[in-house]
Amino acid sequence: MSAVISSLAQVTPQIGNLVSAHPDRYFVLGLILISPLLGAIINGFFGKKIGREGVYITAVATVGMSFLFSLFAYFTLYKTAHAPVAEGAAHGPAQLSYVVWDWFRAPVGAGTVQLKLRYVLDELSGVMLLVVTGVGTLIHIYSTGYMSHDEGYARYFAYLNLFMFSMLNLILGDSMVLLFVGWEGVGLCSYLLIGFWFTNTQYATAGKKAFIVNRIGDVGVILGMTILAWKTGGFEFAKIRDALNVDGSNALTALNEKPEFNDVVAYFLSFGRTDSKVFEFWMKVIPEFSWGGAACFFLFVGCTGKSAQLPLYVWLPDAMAGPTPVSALIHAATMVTAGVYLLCRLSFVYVHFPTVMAIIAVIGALTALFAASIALVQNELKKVLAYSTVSQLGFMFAACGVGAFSAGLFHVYTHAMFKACLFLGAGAVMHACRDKQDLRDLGGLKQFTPHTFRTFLIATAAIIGTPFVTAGFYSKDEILFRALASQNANHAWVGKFVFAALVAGATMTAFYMCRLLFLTFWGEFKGWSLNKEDYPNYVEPSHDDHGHGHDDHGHGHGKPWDPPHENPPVMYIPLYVLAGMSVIAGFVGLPYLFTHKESVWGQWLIRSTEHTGKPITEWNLVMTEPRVHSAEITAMAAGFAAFAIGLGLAWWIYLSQKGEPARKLSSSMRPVYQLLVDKWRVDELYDFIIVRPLRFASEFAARVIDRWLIDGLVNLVGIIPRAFGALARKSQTGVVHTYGAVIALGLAGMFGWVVFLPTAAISARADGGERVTVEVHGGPNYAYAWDIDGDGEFPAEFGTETRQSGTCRKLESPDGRNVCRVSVRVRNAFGHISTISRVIELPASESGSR
Amino acid sequence: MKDLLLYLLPIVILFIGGFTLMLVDAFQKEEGGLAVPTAMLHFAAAAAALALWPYAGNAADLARAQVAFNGWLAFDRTTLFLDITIALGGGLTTLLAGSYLAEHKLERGEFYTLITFASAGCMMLAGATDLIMLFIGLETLSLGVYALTGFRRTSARSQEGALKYFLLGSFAAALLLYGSALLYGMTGHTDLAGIRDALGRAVEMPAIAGQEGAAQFVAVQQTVRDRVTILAMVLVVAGLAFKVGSVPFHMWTPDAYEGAPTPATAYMAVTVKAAAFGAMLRVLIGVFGDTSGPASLAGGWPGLLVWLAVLSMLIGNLVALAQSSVKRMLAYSSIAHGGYILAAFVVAPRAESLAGGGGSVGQSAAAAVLFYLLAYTVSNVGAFGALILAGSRGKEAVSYEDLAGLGKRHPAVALALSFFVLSLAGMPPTVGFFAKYNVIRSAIEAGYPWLALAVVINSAIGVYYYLRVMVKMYMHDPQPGAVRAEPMSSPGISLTLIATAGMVLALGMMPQRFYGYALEAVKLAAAPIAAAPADAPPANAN
Amino acid sequence: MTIQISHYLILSALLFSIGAAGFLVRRNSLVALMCIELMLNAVNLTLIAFNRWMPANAGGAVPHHGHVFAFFVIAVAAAEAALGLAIVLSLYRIRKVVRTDDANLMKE
Repeated sequence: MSAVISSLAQVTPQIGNLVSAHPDRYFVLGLILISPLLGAIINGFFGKKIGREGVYITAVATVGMSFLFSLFAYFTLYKTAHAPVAEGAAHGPAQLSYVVWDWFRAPVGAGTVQLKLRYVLDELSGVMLLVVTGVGTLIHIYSTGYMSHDEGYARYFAYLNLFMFSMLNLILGDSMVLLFVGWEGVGLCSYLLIGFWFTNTQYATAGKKAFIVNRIGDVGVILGMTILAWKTGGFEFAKIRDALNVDGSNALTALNEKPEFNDVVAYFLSFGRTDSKVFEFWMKVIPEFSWGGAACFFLFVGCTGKSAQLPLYVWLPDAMAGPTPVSALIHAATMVTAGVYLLCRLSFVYVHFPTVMAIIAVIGALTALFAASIALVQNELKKVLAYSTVSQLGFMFAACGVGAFSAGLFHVYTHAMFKACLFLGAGAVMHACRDKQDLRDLGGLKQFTPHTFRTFLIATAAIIGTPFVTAGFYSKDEILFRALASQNANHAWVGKFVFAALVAGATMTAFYMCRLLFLTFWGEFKGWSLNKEDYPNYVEPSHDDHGHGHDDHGHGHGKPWDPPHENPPVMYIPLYVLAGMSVIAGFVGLPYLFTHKESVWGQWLIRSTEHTGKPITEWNLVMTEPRVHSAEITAMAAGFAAFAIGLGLAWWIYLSQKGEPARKLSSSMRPVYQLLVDKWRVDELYDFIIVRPLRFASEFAARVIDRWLIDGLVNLVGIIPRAFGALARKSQTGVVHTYGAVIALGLAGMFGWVVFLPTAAISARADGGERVTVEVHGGPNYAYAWDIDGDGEFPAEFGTETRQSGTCRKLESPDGRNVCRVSVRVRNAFGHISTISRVIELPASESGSR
Repeated sequence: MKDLLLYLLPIVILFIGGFTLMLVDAFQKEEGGLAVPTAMLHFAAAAAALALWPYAGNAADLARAQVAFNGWLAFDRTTLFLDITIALGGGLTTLLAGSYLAEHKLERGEFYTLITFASAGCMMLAGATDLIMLFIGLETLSLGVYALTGFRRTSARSQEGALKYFLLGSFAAALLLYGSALLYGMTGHTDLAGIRDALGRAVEMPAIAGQEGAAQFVAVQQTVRDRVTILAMVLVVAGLAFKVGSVPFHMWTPDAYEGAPTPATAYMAVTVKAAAFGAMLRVLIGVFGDTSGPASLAGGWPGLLVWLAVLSMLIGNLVALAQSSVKRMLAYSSIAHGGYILAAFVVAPRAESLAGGGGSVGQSAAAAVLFYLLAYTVSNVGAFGALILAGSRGKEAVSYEDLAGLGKRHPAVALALSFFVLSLAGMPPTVGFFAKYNVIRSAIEAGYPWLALAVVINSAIGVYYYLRVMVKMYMHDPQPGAVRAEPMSSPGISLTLIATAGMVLALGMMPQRFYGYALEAVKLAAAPIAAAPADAPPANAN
Repeated sequence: MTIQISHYLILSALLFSIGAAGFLVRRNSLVALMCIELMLNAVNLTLIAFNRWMPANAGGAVPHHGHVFAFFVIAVAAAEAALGLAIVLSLYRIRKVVRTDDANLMKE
């Protein structure tokens, strides 16, 4: 494989030279980005003018170009990464970058940071780039067939191209800011595409739900990003990374700072009265949490929104209201994995915070389990796939949580292939079956849609982890193994727990995916009667009732008794490509057990995702260690068991019970046959032991938690501000006198404030040791009494001096921080008095005077 | 610059232009056709201000100009920056007005005269360094804007809006005036620098010095002076807070905005705000925020403004949520935007001279105010322009319902409106994001994290109603039977939209450059409008 | 008893308060206009009283800032009154009301 790659890389020697000469001028990145944007602009503005063909060509060509450029860039990157270096010199990081222009300057900490509009291709973004543009191109091609009957094709492709542009911004941006721009952009496109058929209110509501839930996540991202930049002095990933890589660096110390954060929260929660009891209460209640931990946690909250994890996963199943290719591209293969990408991108920060990692791992594992349990009983094709996506994303997060970022990303990559294939297959099924997608209506499609069947079968095999031949097996196995082998520095149980949960999740996955497969493609077709005689009253329809609104593709043309039909090649060729990838994609990540060396995948991402020696990965992947080796075998066995149990159970229930295959199976397996003979007993057992508790559990999950609790919370978030708004709105009576009275009241309030509540701006400086200087600015005729030493006693006399120095006694601080408190009583010109205090950070005692 | 009168060029262009327009309107046979000349006048004023920029950086010139104009007007870069913002806002809204007035049968020449004079008033207010000048500027712009509000003479709503605005505006002006009179009485000066210096000195009474009880008498006088000064300051703050539509002086805003013809609404929202905030910078920070004197931060006005800022953000946003009219929503949102700008005010005078960082924090906050005004001007004019474009003959697009399905019917208009709405909501990479970012950053740097948090939370609320506009346009079809507001075709409005969109994007893409200009404007102010850094005192004329 | 500056100031403050109170209480828009005039005149009184009280500067002359200010206030007040009456008239033409609380088409 590497031979092929390097021979391809031979094509680009000049570019290679160019890169080394001008590190920020690799313009191919600009071409990758600009071409989908160009497509979006052309389709958005001139879509009506250039016609249907023009729109198709523009959309596919621009994204295809982007893919070709991506391949080119990737091979150039590969060549750079493997270029020979001078003897003894360390191999530099492989990256290509392109600076569009200087963006803006941000004062961070003491200095200012010049933020550039800069795109970087490195190992991590390279992998994502290929997945996004590759799958994106296939889905664009597929969409030309799928949307061929829809009126809004130009709008659709404009949104889709815009999505590609935003996604590329997200993965290629070299800073948190640029990533966030992309993050918002993909959210917007997703929102627009979910509500694409906005004539249907239910779909528009789904769009809204996605939107609101994602806003909650966005607040997390903004907070996390701000804290991170503030504490490490940069928005750029490279800068943050460099700041952290120095052991005992200032940035790391800054991230590990603890109580200041609590101070701020407590300060806010006690409305700024630091001298109040409320403040002290909050200082005790808020658990210790460092700035860095908070940043990581907030960013993860953002990820749970975008990547549909507990508890913010609720929007994704509803998001299936959009056109099916959109579900495949945005809600399965690319956008929803942005959260995983973000974690991998910032893995070098995350590894410093084991508790946050533990939270991520547990949330991921629980999501995997929870969503899989719901998927067991869903009856809609796309709903099952949606919950399956949530569940698989849980796998990825669990992997990241246990420190196996490369494994998580590996699953992103393989999952993109097989889940896109499954969704597109589902779309093909719906396209073929007049938009029927209820599993109870489908069946027997094997004979009608052979291409769809074959590809769906392969993709299902991949997702359930069919051993040795499918990509899903390798990526899932890697996650299970790394989970089992991991040791969280603070919470050792996490690895075992995640492993157990994921194995259970994998079992369920195998079961529900096989159930889906069997019910759709095996058995009798139940969608409509295929006998012409059943339609005695059929008359040839007139062609003007051409309704649009659902996944509707004008099937009114066929006769009602026509069987489901196979789709055009433009739709099944992408399926074959994706199915093929679902098989071969895994071979870049062969486990160590087989090859006795680090896999191609792991080797490629080692710089981006492996951070040995940090608390979370203290176990240092040492391949010869027997414990690790045995863990790998255990994991593989568990993965195999999950596959076998799930598949077997599904087979037994959905095929065996139907007669022919059951008899064949029963003759070879006596005990199973015995059970099958007593049909009621099996039904009872099945119902009583498996279905009823499971159904109860999943319905409980689906109804109570999903619909009631979480939807309720989401609605509440919207209701509260509106209620207040309505209240405030009522005060606007429309009568001038009310307005005048409010002005008068406001004025009176302002007078009251300046007369009765003296305030002064206070600033303080630590002069070294326990010496401090404090300055206040109050107003004319203000007088002050000082309590510099912090003993709570003020002199009786007020003076007019606005500056005071003195010795400030260190406070008893539980976290050992060097602080003291100074207070000033302020008497204003009206003779009223109030007290202001401020906590001052003293310099560390050993540093002496500054 | 040699000829100091040239400094007056932007204002003179507008005044002479205004008179000319009046004459032309009186003598021309048919109404109309004045929009483009008026816009050109504004752009000429902007160009003049731009041309003066290099000449306003010199401390000696500033001092001479200050003397030559008797300390009534400052010809510093702050003035020029605000002049450019005002002229831009005025010019672009005039371009909007051309088609709007013709479309709605309101084409009367006095609209342009009024807007031109009002712009001149805005520039006077923005550059005023004397209480008298401040009052004249304020009234010149106010009278113009009152008349513009009531411009739809046959509309009861327009007249009602004008009446409310006028009555309350006069009331607020009287408050400001009374405050000014008291300040004058307490200091003997009407010029801001004189007031500042006088407040920095203790009361002296040489006539009675040495007599029995003189010291006690002087002390009483001192107390009286300081108390009255503080109360006068509150009155002045109230008067200016009214003009910027800050809570609790905000209640006229939605009614006046709704009643006024939409271009006038846009004008009120941007230029009046820019001018009034400019005056606020000079009065509050220049006079009461000079941290070197004992009058510094008189009565802790930053603490006062915190309340105004937070209440403005909160009430503006929350009530905007509940609106069904886009025009009223924009009115309430302008209150909220005023709140964000006020938040920067709180920070601007904060001289962390002891904690390091010097006055640069204060300067960056004052620059954040200027930058925000520019950003708000281009975004808001664009939004109103798109709203005007979406309306048709006799059926203005004012409610959310009118916008339903616009994304399908007229993608270009919908796209433009979405773009501006996103900027107002503060989404990157539009300029709105950077405007808010600057405010938040200064608040954090100055040690007001909770104020920054308040801005963030309020922005999040704001996103909701701004995006409702987009939801309506893209995800809803008009109700069956509803009168559809058909977009009009107008080169003037299209041009404005393209220009503003370009500026929103350009400022968003290169915010640093424009923020740099704002920072320069702050540093080279005739009187300090931000706490000065310890190492580099700004050019100070007196 | 001699008439001092404080008497003028108290008188003008009273006038201002009466004007403000009238503005807030009376519902007739013409009366509201008059109240505003009253407030402005109170300001004028304040300005002029203060100017009389001002000590002479170093050159021996008393600066006339207060007087100048008062003249400007008078001029602006006239313009304001003209515009105000025009608006009131215009509203009256359409709706036949002069009471301010009848002008409440727009609210909330």
